[in-house]
Amino acid sequence: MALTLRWSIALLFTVAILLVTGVATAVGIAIGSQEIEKSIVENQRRSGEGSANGLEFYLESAGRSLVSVSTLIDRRQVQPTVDEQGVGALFDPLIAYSQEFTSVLLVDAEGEPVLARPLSSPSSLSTFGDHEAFEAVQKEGVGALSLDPMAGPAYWVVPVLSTRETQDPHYVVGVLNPFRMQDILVSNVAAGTDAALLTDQGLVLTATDPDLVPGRHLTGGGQGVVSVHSVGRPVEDRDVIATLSQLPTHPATVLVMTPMSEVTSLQGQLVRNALIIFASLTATGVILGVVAASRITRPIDHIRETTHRMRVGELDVRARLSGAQEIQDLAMDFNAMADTLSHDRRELLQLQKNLEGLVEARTAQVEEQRDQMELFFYGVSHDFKSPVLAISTFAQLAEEAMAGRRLKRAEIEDFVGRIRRSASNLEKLITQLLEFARAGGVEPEYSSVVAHDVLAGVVDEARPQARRRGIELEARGPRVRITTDANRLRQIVTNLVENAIKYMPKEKESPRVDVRWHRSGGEFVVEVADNGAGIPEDSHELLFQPFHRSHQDAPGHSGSGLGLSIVHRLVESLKGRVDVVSHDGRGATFRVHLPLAVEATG
Amino acid sequence: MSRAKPAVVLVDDNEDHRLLTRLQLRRLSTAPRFLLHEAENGPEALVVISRLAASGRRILLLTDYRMPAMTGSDLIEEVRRRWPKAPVRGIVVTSVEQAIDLKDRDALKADDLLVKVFDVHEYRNRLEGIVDRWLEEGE
Repeated sequence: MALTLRWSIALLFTVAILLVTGVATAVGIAIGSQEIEKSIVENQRRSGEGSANGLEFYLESAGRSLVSVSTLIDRRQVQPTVDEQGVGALFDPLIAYSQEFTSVLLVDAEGEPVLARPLSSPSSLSTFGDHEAFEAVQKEGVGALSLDPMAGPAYWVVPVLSTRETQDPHYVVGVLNPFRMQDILVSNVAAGTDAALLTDQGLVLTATDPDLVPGRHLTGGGQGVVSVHSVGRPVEDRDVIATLSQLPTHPATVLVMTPMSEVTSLQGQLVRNALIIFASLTATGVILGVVAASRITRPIDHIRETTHRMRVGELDVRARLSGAQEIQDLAMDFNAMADTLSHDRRELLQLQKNLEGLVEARTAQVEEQRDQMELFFYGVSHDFKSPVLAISTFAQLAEEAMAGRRLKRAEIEDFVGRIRRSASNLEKLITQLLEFARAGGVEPEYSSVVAHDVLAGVVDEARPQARRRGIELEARGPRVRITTDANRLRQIVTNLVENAIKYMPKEKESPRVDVRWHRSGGEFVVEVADNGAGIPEDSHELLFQPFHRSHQDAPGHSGSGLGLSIVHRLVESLKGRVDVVSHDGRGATFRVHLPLAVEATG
Repeated sequence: MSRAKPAVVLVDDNEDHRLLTRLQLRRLSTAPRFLLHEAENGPEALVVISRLAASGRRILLLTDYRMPAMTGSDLIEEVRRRWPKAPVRGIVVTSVEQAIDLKDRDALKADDLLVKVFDVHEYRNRLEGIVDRWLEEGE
């Protein structure tokens, strides 16, 4: 399972904090450790200097040369020839200087301890200055003394006498400050010579003297822990840190040591503290990380939620603008996308609705066409059936009449006449049906024609027919040249003229039919006007539909009902239109509008 | 009422067909029992019927369906609207049953439908049946 963004960020944050605080802690510990050592060294230096100063003070205040002390102890015989005053004078001020002295140790010129004794209390130092000490040395013998760690806190003041049979004895005086240090070094560090080190576990001397080898134990059971590598500089070892301080006016050096265990304890404390800080910093960081991650991811969660709602259909929801700029940008983009989406969807719905409407309209249209088609065929069959029915039944009636006892000649002749007329009507009907089909199907043949020639021709042809019925027929119009199908134009006008003649009421006084034409704008207009019975206005609309008849059929002219629909079809095929102006009883005017020129079509 | 002779009103715009039906009606054995009136179209028929209705006669209206100005169905409806109480029996006569307008086909206002047929005898028999039933109802 993938981590959520929130926990990823929190994790990242945590790792980053761990890294930073870890490194910082490690560096801090490293630096701190060094600082601890440095400060210890500094303290040692100050303490050493203090000791040195104290020693100096002692030497000064004693008012005698330390050289005289060297005479007190013969290195071979260890003669306690030193007088009490001398020794006492040597140590008393020293005790005065530092009340913390608890033991003394004497070593001979070889560096071997000659006297070591713990001091029961600072005040008992006075006893050190008495003969007791020397007596002890005498009794034990030079080098016979060994340090006994079990004797209690072993803090020593060690006068070291001359290291050699030289005229320049050196005095090595150690000072212990038990509150600060657990070890003490007393060393004679005349330049390039010796250094002496005394610890609670033994005395270690190390110096340039070949006898004083680094790490050499001066006591039998001691465990050397420090090496002094050089004089006048801080010395380091795994187990102690030591600092040498030179006496300003005397060839003596104070070495102050601190065991490594104290350093490590301090360092351990530092590490513990650092780890506590590290842990609390890390915890704080992690909490901050989680909080920050939540703050960062909350707007993203919001956008995600909004997206989900949108996906399940709530098109109107929009994301709130909050959080970082990028997330606000994302929200803005999302909203823009949502706007587009819902807009598109609305459009789609509208489109669908339009389409449905279109399909409905189209279906209705198709259904209407189908109904019209049905009616057309019923009309056709009806109009065919009428004359056939007449032919058939009149033939039967004629037969009956002929078979009768009395031959009714006039009646038979009437029947035969009716049969002939019906047959003729049938033929006309067939012709018209063909014309109707042709008008709708075949492409017109365009040519440039003079309208006058075509229309005057039509009128001339129809004139005999009009004259037979006493109808005045006239043609009038300018010589207009138009591009059209001359045959169709002729047929249109012929049909209209024949219709006008056919339906002219017989009783009409001065009946007339006029064919007029003119140009009007880009159109060529032909009018066929009669002063006949007219057409009721409510049937104008249906007038041009096949098999519609509003005229009363003239006797002997059973119209097919196709004439005007043929006209309509022909006019439409020529990209024109036809209409009628008529009021019942006041004649009718059919007006055909045709384009003057027809744009070539493919 | 019934003392006045009943009347057959024949309406057809086709003169041939009118003649055919008239000839058949005249040859019926019951021909003497009814008057015969003719009209070329609906409006003319209404004029004729208005006269007959005034005299309270029973009327058999035999009307063609396809006619200008008014269909046979329209004519029967108009007659019933104008003389709701007049005893008029309306029969639509047509040569093609399907040529009756779609809207009229389901709700033809006629009492009966007579289809013109090619066989004269058959046509006469059908006419006779209609006329006989009509005459019997009046007795």
